[in-house]
Amino acid sequence: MTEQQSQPSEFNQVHLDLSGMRHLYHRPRLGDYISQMWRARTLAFSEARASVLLKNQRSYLGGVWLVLNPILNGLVYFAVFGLVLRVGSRVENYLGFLFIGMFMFQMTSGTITQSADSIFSLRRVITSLSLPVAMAPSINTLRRWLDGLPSYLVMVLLVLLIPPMETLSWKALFIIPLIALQFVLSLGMAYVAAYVVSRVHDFTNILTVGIRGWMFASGVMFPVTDISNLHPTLGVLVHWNPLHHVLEIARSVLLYDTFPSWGSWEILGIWAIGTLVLGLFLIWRREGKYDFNDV
Amino acid sequence: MTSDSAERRPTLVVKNVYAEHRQKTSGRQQSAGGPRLEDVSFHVVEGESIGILGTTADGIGLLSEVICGRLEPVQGDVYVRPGACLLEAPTPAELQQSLYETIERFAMTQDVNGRALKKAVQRTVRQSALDENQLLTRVADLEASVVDLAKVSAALNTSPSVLLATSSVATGNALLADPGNVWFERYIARGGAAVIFGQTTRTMVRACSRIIWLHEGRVLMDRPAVEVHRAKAALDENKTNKTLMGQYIRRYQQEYVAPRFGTF
Repeated sequence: MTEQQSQPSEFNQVHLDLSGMRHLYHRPRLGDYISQMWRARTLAFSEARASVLLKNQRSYLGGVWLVLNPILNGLVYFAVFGLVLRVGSRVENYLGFLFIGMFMFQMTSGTITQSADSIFSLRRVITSLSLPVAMAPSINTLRRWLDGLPSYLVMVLLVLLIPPMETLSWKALFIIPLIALQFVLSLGMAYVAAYVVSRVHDFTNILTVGIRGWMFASGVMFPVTDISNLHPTLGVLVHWNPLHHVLEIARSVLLYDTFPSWGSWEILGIWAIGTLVLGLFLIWRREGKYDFNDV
Repeated sequence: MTSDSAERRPTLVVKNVYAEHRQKTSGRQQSAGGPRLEDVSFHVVEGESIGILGTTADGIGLLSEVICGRLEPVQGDVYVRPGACLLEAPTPAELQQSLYETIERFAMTQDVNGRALKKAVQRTVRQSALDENQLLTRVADLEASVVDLAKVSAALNTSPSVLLATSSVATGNALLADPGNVWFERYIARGGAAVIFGQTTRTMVRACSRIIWLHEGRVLMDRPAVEVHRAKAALDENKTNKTLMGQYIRRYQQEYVAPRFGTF
């Protein structure tokens, strides 16, 4: 018997067995939370895929923009930094250097900016499908990566086709674990950004400026030595900048045919796991307290 | 409430809920005005279908938001058995999706993946007699009745713990006419549960065993559907006579016995 009733005069006394029920607006245990997220993986993928297809349906060129956007951006930066400022004269294969920087940086920065407001913007999806809140930044991260992964193929093709036409060795295979780590890093940072924006919405404005500064500090358009030579503190910051190491590894295996340093992998790994664990923990800790109110 | 419901597990428990829309002004939460809920309590058990009757001003929209997890109550608790499914009006993004994607999405809400997902989708396509043309059409371009029937089928095929209907599914014919009513009855007979929100008793009186009538944010009546339907009809007949309406409402309020939940 799970429910028992009696009939007192003023109240209808009902005894209920609440075992196995979800207490709304109260956070579940972390293990249960992660298991709920795992069970919703197909749904998250489907939501992300649907929004990518929908976005491309509206434009004439559709999916071509996935490839065209980073190329156009790269060409603008090449004109400014390569032709006008002549940064390229100090860097071997500057066009390849620039394209790798642009394509790879935009993937992580785009993930963070798209996911920052995801808890509020995807509130209907989250609530109508009874998903854990952490699925909101997860869906937007998947969406950005589904949207942007073709651009990585274009990046490799450009490196091969544009003079001085690099040839790839087996070391280029290191790009696969690198992309996997970059995905984990982007997801973790998306969790942290989504959590912070859900607490203080003004952070979205600071985020845009911060990401621009981060781009210059990551060596997207010029070598980071230009920055780290300015001041020792800047050197330390650049050394611990995970995206600088993403670009370093990618350039060493795709352009310069050298082994990426173990230190770069270590720093990247620490950041990827650290932000993922921290971001997930922060979002979980506030589960049940998010404001989905439209007013 | 029927006596045999004492044997069944609860799927939704709303316990002493007070709620209202709140807005942030200079960092402080303040009442945004509009409807509010005051000490609302009820529960739904397996194999039971209930209606929530009332207008937006009475707070049914507010109550649906609280149950769906969108609006934290000021006070009180809400418990839901995992696996609830919400049938509500499609969002602008959903309107742009194909009907196939919508069906697939509903199937996936109950953690159905891989082959089981394909089977669930195929079953809905077969049950709702959908052709390929309809499946590939955008939801916005299809008749609402076709979409509603497909959504009801997709939702029920995955056996949700409780079905929450707030859209045209709750007020239209999807649950009243064949084949929707047959699927719905089978689902309830299998131990499913449903909560249907609406302003009239039209669907509720035929699809629900019990109706909870909200009036100005409080429960006015929680009785078998036919009784509430008659009481509402009596009130509506005397809409022009404010004094008589007031007498009816006071009588209903006096007769209402609130549940007091003991949990274990």
